[in-house]
Amino acid sequence: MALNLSHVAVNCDLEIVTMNGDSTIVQRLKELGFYPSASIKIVRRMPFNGPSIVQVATTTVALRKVEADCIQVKEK
Amino acid sequence: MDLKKETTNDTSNRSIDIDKNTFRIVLIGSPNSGKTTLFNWLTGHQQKVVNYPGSTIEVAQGLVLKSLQNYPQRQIQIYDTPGTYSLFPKSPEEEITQKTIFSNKDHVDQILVVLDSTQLSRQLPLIAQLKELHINLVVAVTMYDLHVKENSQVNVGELEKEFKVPFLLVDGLLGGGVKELVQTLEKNLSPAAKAPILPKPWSNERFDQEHNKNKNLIKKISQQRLQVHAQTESLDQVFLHPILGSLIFFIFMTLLFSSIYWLAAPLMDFVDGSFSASAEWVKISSESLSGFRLILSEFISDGILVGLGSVLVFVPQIFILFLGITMLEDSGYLARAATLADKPLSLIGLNGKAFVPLLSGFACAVPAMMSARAINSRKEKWLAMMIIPLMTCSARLPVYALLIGFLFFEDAFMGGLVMASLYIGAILMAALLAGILSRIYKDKQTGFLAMELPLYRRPRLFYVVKSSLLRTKSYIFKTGPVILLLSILIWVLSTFPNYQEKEASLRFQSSYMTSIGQNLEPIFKPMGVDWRVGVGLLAAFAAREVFVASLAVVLNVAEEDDEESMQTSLINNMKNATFADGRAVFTTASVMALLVFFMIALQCISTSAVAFREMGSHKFVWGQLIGLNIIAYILSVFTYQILA
Repeated sequence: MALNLSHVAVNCDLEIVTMNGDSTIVQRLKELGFYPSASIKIVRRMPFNGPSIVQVATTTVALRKVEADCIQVKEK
Repeated sequence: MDLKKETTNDTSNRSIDIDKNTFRIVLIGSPNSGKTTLFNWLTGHQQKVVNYPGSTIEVAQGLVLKSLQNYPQRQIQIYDTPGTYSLFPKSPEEEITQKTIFSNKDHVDQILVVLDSTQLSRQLPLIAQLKELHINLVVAVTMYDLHVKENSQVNVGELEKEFKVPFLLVDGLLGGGVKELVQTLEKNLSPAAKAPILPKPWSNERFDQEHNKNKNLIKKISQQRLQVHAQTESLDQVFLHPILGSLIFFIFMTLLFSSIYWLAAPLMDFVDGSFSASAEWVKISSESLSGFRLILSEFISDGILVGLGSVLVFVPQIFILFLGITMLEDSGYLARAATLADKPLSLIGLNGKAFVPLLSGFACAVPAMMSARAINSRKEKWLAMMIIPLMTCSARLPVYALLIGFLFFEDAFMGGLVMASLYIGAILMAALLAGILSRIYKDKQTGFLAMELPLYRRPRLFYVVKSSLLRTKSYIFKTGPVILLLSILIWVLSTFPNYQEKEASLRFQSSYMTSIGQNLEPIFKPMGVDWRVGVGLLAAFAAREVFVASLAVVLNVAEEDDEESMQTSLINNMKNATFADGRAVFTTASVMALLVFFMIALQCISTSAVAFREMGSHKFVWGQLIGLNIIAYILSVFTYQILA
């Protein structure tokens, strides 16, 4: 079952299933190393709906909620 | 001699050197990949910042050191570009990188791709994109020292097999592998046959395809997490902690700004003193002169030297602030600060990435506006550029010092309190303005954060100092000429037509400046001040700090030996200045009104000049100039009327 990246728990080992949303954002996410079947993990969420700190392979990225919403994941 | 003669028919509309002894290489790579470090190793001190042909954008250009070359008779020009994640730009800065490759006038002979060895999997698609251009490609794999420290291997042989271009390991710390890199570059150099064609942007599917292809490759080159990754993670537990992290953030900012005062102050005094002394020297040496030669010497001492002095006096302050900012940036901390700032900034329509330009605005709006190129979306950049002048820049400080000194002479506590409120007031005003404007400015183009958090590392002193010097230079050379010219203009208006008059105050009273000021007095009356202050406000449009000098001239303050007694006598003269009906000009109400005015008004021609260059729009510049100044005027009048 695919979950939205914005709704998953912190520190859980996940895998990206699909990505869809604004084309500029999705393309930038792919350039940063997000793609279907990649391993991904939320390291922390900033308070007050702030950015989420996400690890994909060896890259750490800060994503806003609207960007994390583009990524659907499932548990590994 | 190894000359290459080009005789093929070129079907593109470019020119090709017939005797090819100069080659152009462009450095491409992600942000934080060690590109600029490599650039420095390759070019040593032989670098300069040039205008990219046909535009106002600047790129760093250098010549590869002859000592590294096998064929030193060849000139290898290298261009450093802003970091980019792909060939398809998403910010004005990334567009520069794209233009450097695809320019029509200056062809690129070879591309040197810089890959971070700790981030290989992500960056490989960039190589595939570049290969599609059919330009000679060489790849430098940097940050290798991090692997060596932990006895980890990076199997470049596999990468070479897969991509069929040379991959070389480079150690950015000690320069290991640089000579081999240059020799490989030389082996693969041949003049570009034709211009590369800009490829169609990759579709999502193409990206996915590429990533999947690389998955097996990655397994063979063993990309495991290193100790440095774990170290960065632990540091982030502190720096990104909601409470502790925010606290540390405020501490860093406070340290940064207070360093301006206790580090820069002695240097500023030195610069100021030197200029006053030389102006004084010119005056004394010319005491016996008369007529034209006297005027000329006054032109030099009061026009030129004063003008130059008012530009250079801020150099220590601006340099130190940039030193601090660049150090935070190089250590990797600024990305975390931008992450912490993202939510608050997004509430007013901005982006965490606007944090650095806004911070730089506290030194000087000129380099701050230039660094706004990193902001992705049109609207966010527009908003950031609009409010940067509201950040309390260095030039406002002498004015604040004088006016606060007038109100709270010797009371350091109240003085400090008012100063802090002015800083905070300006920030709140900026936030309010951005909040309102972001609701009015409609733009479908989305802004995004999606920001990489690089590994923490010890800042490289050489790079930090060099970068700060460059930004300080841009302050000097971009604001200097304008301020100098306007200072001269102000001197001319204050001296003529009655330049024969030896008594300075009489000469000023019959000058053009005075008649202009007196004619405009009705504008200044509602603010609680008279034409003499008005003249100072007008002069301040050249540069805010000119207000103080102008006030000194208008109120007949004699040249004193030291700064302190000059300021004291200026304040005394301010206390005694009255309107025709005997009312004091400088009251608590009118001085507060002046403070409010200076806090908001855009009084810096140089800022508008840079804004025009960066935004390319007359409408923006005039809108900003008129808008901010009208708001400043209204609030200033309001302040006076309420307090009086």
